Amino acid sequence: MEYYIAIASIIGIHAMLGLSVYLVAISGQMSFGQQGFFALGAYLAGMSTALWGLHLLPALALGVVVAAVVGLLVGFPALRVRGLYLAIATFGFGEIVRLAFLNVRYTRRIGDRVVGPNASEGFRHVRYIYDRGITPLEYLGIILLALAVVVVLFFALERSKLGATLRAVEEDEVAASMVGINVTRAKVFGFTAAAGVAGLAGGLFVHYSSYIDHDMVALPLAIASVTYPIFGGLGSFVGPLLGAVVLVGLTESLRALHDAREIIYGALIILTMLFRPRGLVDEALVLRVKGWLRPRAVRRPAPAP
Amino acid sequence: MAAAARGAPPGPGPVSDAPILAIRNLSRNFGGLRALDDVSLEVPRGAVFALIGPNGSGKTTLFNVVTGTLAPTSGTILFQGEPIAGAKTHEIVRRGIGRTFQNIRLFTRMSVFDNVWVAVRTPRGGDRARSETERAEALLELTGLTAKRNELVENLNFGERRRLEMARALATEPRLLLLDEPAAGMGALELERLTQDIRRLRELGATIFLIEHTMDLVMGVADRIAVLNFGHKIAEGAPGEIQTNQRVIEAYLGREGSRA
Repeated sequence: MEYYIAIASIIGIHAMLGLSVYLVAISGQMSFGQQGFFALGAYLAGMSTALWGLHLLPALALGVVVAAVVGLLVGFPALRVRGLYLAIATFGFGEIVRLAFLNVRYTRRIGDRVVGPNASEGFRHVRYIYDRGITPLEYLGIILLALAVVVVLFFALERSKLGATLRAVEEDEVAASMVGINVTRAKVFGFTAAAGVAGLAGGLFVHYSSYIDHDMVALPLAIASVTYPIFGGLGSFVGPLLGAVVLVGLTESLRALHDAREIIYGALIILTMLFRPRGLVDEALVLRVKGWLRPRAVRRPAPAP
Repeated sequence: MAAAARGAPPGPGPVSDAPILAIRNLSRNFGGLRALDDVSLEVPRGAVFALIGPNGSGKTTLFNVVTGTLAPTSGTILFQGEPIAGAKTHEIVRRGIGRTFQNIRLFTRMSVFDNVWVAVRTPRGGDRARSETERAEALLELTGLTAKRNELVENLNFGERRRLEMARALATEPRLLLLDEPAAGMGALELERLTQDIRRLRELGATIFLIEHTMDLVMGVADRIAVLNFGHKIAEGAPGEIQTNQRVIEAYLGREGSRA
């Protein structure tokens, strides 16, 4: 049972990371740096509860805000480059954050424990949920609740004009600007909000695992985050959710195969990119499903899309 | 704000008849190439103004500079009397310039409805009573695309795509509409419909500035024509004048002026 709770918790956290990359992607950018915002959220939220005695909610909120503000600051210069260059620039950012935490020491002795970011030793003893007697199952509830809030926001975004605006920018910046869209603002919004989501995932993660170090926010996490939306699909927020469930689930269920599962994982990604370049849940599928859900008789101006 | 529909006679007039778009001494270089060389022209309010010229003469470059996609190397552009040269595209659009592209640029992964809806913006002093959804629906109705509203753009035929791009451009409520070769690739029937659409837009008070090679369309709808060749404006006048202009004939057919 505990095993499944652990997997579900990881899926919830990784789904959020997937949504973060997805939000960047649908505003026309590719980021390999969301693990940097994840790390910022994790360290800030962890320090908030473990060192400064904050409650979980304001701690998570602080992690989100710091990640988003850094996202905004990084976003402006980073978004001047595109495509592969942007991917490298964002990965560079992620590495800067990682190396910063590899070197930053900000600890305090609490009882017989050294608490706080401790350079290469990592940040140990984020014991909030243990100290309060929150069970893993209850904490899974908190993770899923947070994920539900994020999903509701994505749901609203995708039905809104802002969502359509981001997608227009993704597809054709010149055409988007020609219908009056401020392309820079749309991209910076997408990048900033996505950074906040990654920060939330980080904050939830550090309290789940009670520990984080620089190694956990390195390249593999970047690749995993990018894989969820690419595999699951870029047509709807359902895509990255599906991607996280399937890929994390697959990784776990194939544990017996050891390294062979990496091959299966990689093959799956390549096959998706070949045969469904916009992922499993692509735009065409989303439109078809919307068509099924729409009442038949409606022909004239339906009030809502 | 809405310009009263009237057949504004070309040429200078009182203040209210000031040109909606005035381009003065506009140049644009690409490295050593002068794509636009000291071009000046005025588009009268309420007119259909056509820009013609051989391929590579700088027509689309002129549109790109007017819409802020390219910065001018020198010169000024006045839209409704205010300078817009060098402004950002979205700011220029919000001031009231709309545009379609030569090589149709739709949002192909979005539905037909969303393509128009994303472009609808309530301008200052605009009609807020009608919701953005209703305005998008109305534009689909106008362009005959209502039945396709939930389709992906990739399921539209060529003519429908052109009309959708027009609907999208109109959604920004332009006072000046730039059409870049709207008749390209169109059959006779579609051409007829386009001609009517342009006339109707003009009656509704829009000013149309179009680039076109299809002379049937140009001669049928344009009040005034300017001709570009190698980045220079070589002629401007009423359709009848342009048809008989010696320099225009030379630009199209060569120096001898003899028919091929």
